[in-house]
Amino acid sequence: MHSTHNINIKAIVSCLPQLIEDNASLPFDKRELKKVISSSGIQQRRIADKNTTVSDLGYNAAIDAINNANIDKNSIGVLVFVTQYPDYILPSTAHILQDRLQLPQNCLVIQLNEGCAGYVYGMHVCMSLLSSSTADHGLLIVGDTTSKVIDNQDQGTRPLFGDGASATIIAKHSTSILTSIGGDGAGSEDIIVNHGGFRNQENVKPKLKMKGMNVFAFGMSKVPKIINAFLEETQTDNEDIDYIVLHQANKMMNERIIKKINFTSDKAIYSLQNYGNTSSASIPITITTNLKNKINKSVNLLACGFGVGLAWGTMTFVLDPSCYLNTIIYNNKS
Amino acid sequence: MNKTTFLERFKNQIEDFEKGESIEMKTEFRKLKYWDSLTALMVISMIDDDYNISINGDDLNTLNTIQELFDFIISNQQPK
Repeated sequence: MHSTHNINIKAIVSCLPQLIEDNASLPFDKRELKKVISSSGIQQRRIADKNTTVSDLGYNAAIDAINNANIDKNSIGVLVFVTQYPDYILPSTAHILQDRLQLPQNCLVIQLNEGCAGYVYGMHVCMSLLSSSTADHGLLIVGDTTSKVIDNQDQGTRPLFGDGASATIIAKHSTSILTSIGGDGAGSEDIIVNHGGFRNQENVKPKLKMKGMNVFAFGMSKVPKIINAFLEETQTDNEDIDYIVLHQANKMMNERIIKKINFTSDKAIYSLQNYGNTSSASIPITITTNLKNKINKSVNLLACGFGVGLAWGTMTFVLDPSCYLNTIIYNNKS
Repeated sequence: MNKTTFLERFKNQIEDFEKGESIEMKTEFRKLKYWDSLTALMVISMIDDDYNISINGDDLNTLNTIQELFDFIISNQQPK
């Protein structure tokens, strides 16, 4: 299933917290740590302080994007906020962001609970809503502060996840963005925070649990099939794609996926070495940290997010030189 | 599917495998000195790459010996 929208991207801005956590310095067995760093490719990550939420990061990214895309806030008719770590259970943090960003009160505001596939899910929803709106622009804010549910004693998750957010401004345009999304809830327990909702009401601090081998096997076997089906359905040749951006969970897995879908490794761009797995923000963070000031002509990108849900989403889109790309660092003290 | 080749490929996934160490089809792989979750990922990758079979952690945890792993692959391969 895929959709075509007359949409383009005007700006992508990523915002990362200032604090760096170096994986080599973590208090785990050094031999095992070395293997984790080597196989995951993750050297360090950014961690939000206890007073910083993902909406703080997303707000700052959005302000920079709006200011530099030179658009009127009143022209934003859709705000989609994708996160798994909202400020509150209610109200939706998307409403808080509408007010904080001073977006118009008739802006359609929606929050999605998605993770690794969240950028593509968010783009799909934001584009669909903008297409049926009279407004000119849509704003997508994605990101997570996964560190808040990490067990610091868990060697299986702590070296892998980082915090970050990103804002994307989309506009009605003559070009198309193609998306395909899917999911399989049978894998819902493979990555789960099973406290903090209302199914399990024991007074337990929410912690992320991940069946790493299941997630790895899912990435290895399912993702190449998803991307190949997308390319076939959209009649896209590998040669047409300038850059491929996979969700940034594990470098060894991504390299194997790239090989399986017959792309050359030089087309794949990465951010995981510096930022780890930043959930729904991993695709836009990879774009802004790799491609800022490097786009001299229109380029075609293929992006694929996959993970918690289990869920997946694939998209192709064009970035042209007029698209504003930036990465900013959030300092809570400033 | 060749049993000897499979055993060699399995051994190649164990980073610190010493040539003197005995690994046979009847070996219980989770009891190997250097078996860990990352080695498991390498084995999962090898099986996916070389035999086109997806085996996840839940599957792997039901198996004990390399022979059982070999049998799992055979039973999940598409009949020709």
